[in-house]
Amino acid sequence: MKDSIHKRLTDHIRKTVGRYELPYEPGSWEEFQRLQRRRRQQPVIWFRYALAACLLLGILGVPVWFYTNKSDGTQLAVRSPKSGLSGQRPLHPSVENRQRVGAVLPDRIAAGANRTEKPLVRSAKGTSTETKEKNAANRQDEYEQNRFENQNRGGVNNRLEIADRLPKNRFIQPETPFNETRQTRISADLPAESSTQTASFAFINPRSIRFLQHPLRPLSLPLSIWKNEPAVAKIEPAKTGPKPVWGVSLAPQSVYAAGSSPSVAVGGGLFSEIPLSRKFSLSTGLSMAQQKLGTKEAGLMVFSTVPQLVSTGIRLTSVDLPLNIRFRPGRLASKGFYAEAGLSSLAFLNEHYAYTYEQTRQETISVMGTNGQEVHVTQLVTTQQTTTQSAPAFQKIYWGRIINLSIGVERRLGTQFRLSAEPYVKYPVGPFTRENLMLGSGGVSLRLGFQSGR
Amino acid sequence: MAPDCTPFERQLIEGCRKGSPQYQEMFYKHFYGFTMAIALRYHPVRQDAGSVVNDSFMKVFARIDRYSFEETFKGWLRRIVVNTALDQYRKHIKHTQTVEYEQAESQDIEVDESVISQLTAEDILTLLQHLPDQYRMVFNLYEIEGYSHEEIAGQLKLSVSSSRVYLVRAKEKLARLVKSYFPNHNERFHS
Repeated sequence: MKDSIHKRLTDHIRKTVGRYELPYEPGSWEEFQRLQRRRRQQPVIWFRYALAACLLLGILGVPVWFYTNKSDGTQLAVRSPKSGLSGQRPLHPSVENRQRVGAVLPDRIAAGANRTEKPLVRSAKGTSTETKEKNAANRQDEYEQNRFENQNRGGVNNRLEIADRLPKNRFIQPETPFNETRQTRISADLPAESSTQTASFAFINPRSIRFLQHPLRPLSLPLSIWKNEPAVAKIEPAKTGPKPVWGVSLAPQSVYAAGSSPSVAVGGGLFSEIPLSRKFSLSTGLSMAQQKLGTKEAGLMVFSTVPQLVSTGIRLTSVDLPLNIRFRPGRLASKGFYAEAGLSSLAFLNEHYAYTYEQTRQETISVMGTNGQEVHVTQLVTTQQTTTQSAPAFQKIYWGRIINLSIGVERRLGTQFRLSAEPYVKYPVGPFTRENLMLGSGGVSLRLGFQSGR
Repeated sequence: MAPDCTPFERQLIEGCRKGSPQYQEMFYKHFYGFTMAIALRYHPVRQDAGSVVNDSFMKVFARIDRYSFEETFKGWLRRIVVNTALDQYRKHIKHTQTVEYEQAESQDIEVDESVISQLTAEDILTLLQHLPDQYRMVFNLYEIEGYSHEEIAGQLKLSVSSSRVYLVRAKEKLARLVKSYFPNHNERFHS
């Protein structure tokens, strides 16, 4: 019975809903179209954002890349040995391993002069170069180990403690004065031709004397004169040529479009200047400005039952990508003057339009007449209606639609910063925006630039 | 030509294959009722059903080239709508907790046969709306679409036994719903 009811119910449902169709609901197709458009635009919008991000990255990245390249080229000028060793000739082991020279190693001295005499004797006997190298390497190892320990243990107190812990008889006054020992050992380790090769081997007379006056005091000299590298002179890239400048800009401006009254806006952004030659440089950047405009339609009809467009309120958030050539005229360049010309490409983050329509219609109203009776009078009533429309972000990129012309003056602030004021005009070459406006602007761009390395 | 296709429908299909927006609009309006009726069986909330319908038409317009006139067009369309409804259900079920529904009452339910025969499609949709989601899905897939329990288990990520249990409970619940909503056939249709 139960199954029978279920079967009958199921059969009926299957039969009924199988044939069932709903009537079309008005507006469904339009909704479907909206959905379709949104899905189609989704990847395009992402592509536009990605493109904008790439542009920004490119603009800001190029100067950094330029700068990095130049920094990589920082040259280290190695002072060539006085002996005339140069070119491909391999340096003497003592030059290659500068720290191997153990003449002033404190622990070596502390360990006793007997041990230090051996190589001297050997070298005096004309030990081969290989043996000398081995000895020097051993001494270097010992020195490195002791120095590492001392450094790790920290300051003077630690070193004093270490000195106290050492057996008192461990320190033996060198038989020869320290200066002499050091001199002798240098001369022992180095062949004659390279004994006075570099400034690295300069004597440290005052300190060594002090050391000898306080023999129990552990040698706390950092010996920083023993540089890990040969005497070098860093050639600053700033001296070798100009470097890119990048910074921020702020631009109060007046915006105008054909048929509109000028309005004031403020823009700002990032810029960079890439030197091309002594007089020319490439100036680019990315700036944004929010611009508001109002246009009024001419020739209004006095009486019309049809709504007439009377004005349009426009609010734009523009992204400007200029590409200018900056010229520094010879004499005026020293005073910081320059001129710039180029083209700008534009896109809009937001385009908002408010259209105001006006409609005049007749209305009959009742008024009290002069004779005290009600009189019907027809009057014209004007009503306004505003509709708004917006365009999606980066709907279109308008390449090279604006000519940029400017002159400017630049002043240095310190060694790295530059402040410039640049009156400019942006003149539209062709119409752009969704409403095909000939939109131009003029103002003063204030720029704070940064040039690293100077 | 597909057996269920009228010349007009064939024309619509051909037009959609060419990507004509006019034909797409006509196609949409022509098959809207058919697809909406299927979608409503799975998702009784109108908005959800509308979403299934639109997603289905997106797929149809994108894949209409693949349709060969060997099978019935409505069958092909139905399959797309059902699969889209299942996709939506799976998406939805991720964010909702599965609850174990009450045990079915063991007592027999007596429903007048005349009541059953007088149930309209709207009535049935209302009844289905009162079924728990899983019961409704299993009932639709098994009884109306003709899926096997194994297929349903695969589609809904259930065990086969669960699918069987849900079907039985769905039928019992439907019978109880019919009984409670339409207790007296005469009262409903002759008052």
